[in-house]
Amino acid sequence: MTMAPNQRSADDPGLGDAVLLQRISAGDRDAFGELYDRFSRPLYATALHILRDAAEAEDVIHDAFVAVWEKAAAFDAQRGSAFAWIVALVRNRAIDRVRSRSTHDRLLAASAPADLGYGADGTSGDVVTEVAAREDARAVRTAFASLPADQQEALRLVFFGGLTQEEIARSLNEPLGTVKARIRRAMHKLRDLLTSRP
Amino acid sequence: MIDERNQELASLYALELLAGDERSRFERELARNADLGRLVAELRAAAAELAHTASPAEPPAALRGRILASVAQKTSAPATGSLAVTATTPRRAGALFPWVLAAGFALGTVWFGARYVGTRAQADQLAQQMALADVALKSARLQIETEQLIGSRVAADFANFKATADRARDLAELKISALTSMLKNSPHALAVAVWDPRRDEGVFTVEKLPPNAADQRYELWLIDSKPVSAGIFAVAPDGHAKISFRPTAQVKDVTKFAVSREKNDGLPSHTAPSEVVMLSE
Repeated sequence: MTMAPNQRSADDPGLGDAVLLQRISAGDRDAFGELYDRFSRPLYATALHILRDAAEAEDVIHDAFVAVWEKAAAFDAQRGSAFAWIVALVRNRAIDRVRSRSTHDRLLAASAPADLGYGADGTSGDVVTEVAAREDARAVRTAFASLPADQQEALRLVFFGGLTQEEIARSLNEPLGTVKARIRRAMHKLRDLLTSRP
Repeated sequence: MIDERNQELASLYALELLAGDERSRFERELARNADLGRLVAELRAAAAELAHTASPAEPPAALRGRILASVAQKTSAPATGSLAVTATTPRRAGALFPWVLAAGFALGTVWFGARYVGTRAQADQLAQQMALADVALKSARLQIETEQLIGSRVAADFANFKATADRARDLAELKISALTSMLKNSPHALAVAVWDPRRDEGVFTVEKLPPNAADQRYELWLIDSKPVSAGIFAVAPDGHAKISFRPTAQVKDVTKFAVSREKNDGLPSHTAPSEVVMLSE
């Protein structure tokens, strides 16, 4: 496992995650349990949001964590955070399942913001009740909500819908170039907002 | 400094939206550009945070145990490369040793050959079973899809039939009456009243009725045990009028319809007709 040269301070949770993965790669089951406790909620919520099926979401989380156990040594902190690595494991599995259901067209049709659990203003209908749940989640939601509505929509279609660039352009009825530029602006703004949080 | 094009590609790459040649080209650029690598790592981290925007959901309590059990099972599986061999046969020196060695080799060859043939047969049998299972699975899937298709068609047919039946029932309950003229100066005036007793509403159409004078209005009547007004109406210069109507008072069993000529007194309806000019059979 490679540690990022620009790894943040010792109390940085990102650093702790990487250390956990290092311990997991050495067969430390306690570290594995701790990693599960840290990440399982947002990961399960993501899988459920993509799949809309609790049993399938559970299977995806199971398979992804088993993959974490088996491949922890392959984690490369140079390429991103531990959380990002595991989110990718979950998201890819969930999207693969959605595609294999042959219901991708239905997903496209159901990609309207309201159907993805968000109100027309682009914010989650449950935001208010979730504020106290987790500080991290609140910061992310706040940052996300500060993006323009069209940028939020594009990111949701990518992240939860698993759509390609072309599918997003078709779904939004926008030129491909516009969609790409929108995603770039959204991603850079989101990164700036999240890295500047205290 | 990372140009705008690479910033865009980095964003798309972080979201796993690049594919094919575009992805390969970007990865080559990524391999030689450390700044770009850092940007991608940051964007990946930001993208992963989107997981926190999903509606919160608690994983099932049993999931943790299930995962830990799977991991424990993998950990406790016997290692494949740890075969221990212990020599139990005492060494014998002398002329017999080569023969013993050759015999052992021959026996070993026969034994491994037999194992190979047996294993091969088992593998073939297993492959056949898997092929059969695959066929059975495909057949079951096909059957399910067929049943679903038939089910959806039956449901659609039923919905169509129900809609047709509902419409037929509605039509059967409608009361349709033709009204003929009682006016000597316009004997060809003809009107049709369609009455829906379930909704207490109807549509009235009249042709070739003389346009009302400025100080007059026509009024439609529903005849129950007594006449009940359905409101006044005006006729166009070509003698045509079409109105949707509701009775101004409750009616039980409408048997006839009538049109009267009333004085234009500004009232929307009257309690009894003045001069009946059209009447249904």
